[in-house]
Amino acid sequence: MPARLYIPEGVGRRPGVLVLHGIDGPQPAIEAFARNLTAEGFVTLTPDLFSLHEFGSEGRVDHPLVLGDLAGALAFLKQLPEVDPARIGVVGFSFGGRLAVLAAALHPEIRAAVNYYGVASYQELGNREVGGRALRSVPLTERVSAIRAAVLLQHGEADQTNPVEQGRLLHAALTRAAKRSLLYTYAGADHVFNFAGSRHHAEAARLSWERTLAFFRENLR
Amino acid sequence: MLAHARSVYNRAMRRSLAVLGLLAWLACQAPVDAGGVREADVEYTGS
Repeated sequence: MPARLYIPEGVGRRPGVLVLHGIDGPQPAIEAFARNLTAEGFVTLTPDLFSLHEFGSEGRVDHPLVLGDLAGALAFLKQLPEVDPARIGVVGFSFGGRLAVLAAALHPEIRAAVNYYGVASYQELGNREVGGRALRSVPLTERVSAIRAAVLLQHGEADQTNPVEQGRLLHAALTRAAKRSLLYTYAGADHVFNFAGSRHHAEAARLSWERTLAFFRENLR
Repeated sequence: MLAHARSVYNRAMRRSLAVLGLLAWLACQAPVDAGGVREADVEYTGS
């Protein structure tokens, strides 16, 4: 599977972080995010989870091919000589945000997971049209017991694609299960608020980046 | 004399080309250094 690897200058083993793209697949903004994280001392890997697969009409949500590639990417990252396999994190955006939390549930060695505006429960998205795999997927709220990682949730309060209630739902479930969860919401911020484009929200982007960085520094020390 | 000079010249050219080829190969293999971050396209075993 293809991926891009970013390694910081210097010697010694560093924390490793998987950076997971959204439903649009790999994008320059995702690569820039990974590069920026690496400039702060983290080895990062941006796997392309889509390009080699045909997913069919049922969609990609929690697809076994995606989960298999995710496991492969995690194994690849951990075996790198530059990476400390005991300090592994994951961050994802939208589709990748949900996947980041799912990864934490499936791979207990992950110590820190950051979910930017991912769907927690497709069943509770309201009257939006959802079908196929998404409708049959297990809500993240029902997977929290398997999570050992600290979780950071970042969500725009004006998210028109995936309402902020999804972030609140997951945070509540994690908290009820006595898991470490932090939720930050951003007033006036829409979906993908942290990337360039019509929905960019500069203040939310800056704050969420600082919080992601602080979160990884604290939990992947 | 001329044949000897041509032979020396050809050997030197071959060596130079070999070195250039090696350097080009290394340039393709080595991650790019961009502001303290090394980057590389990699392949891993997935599904």
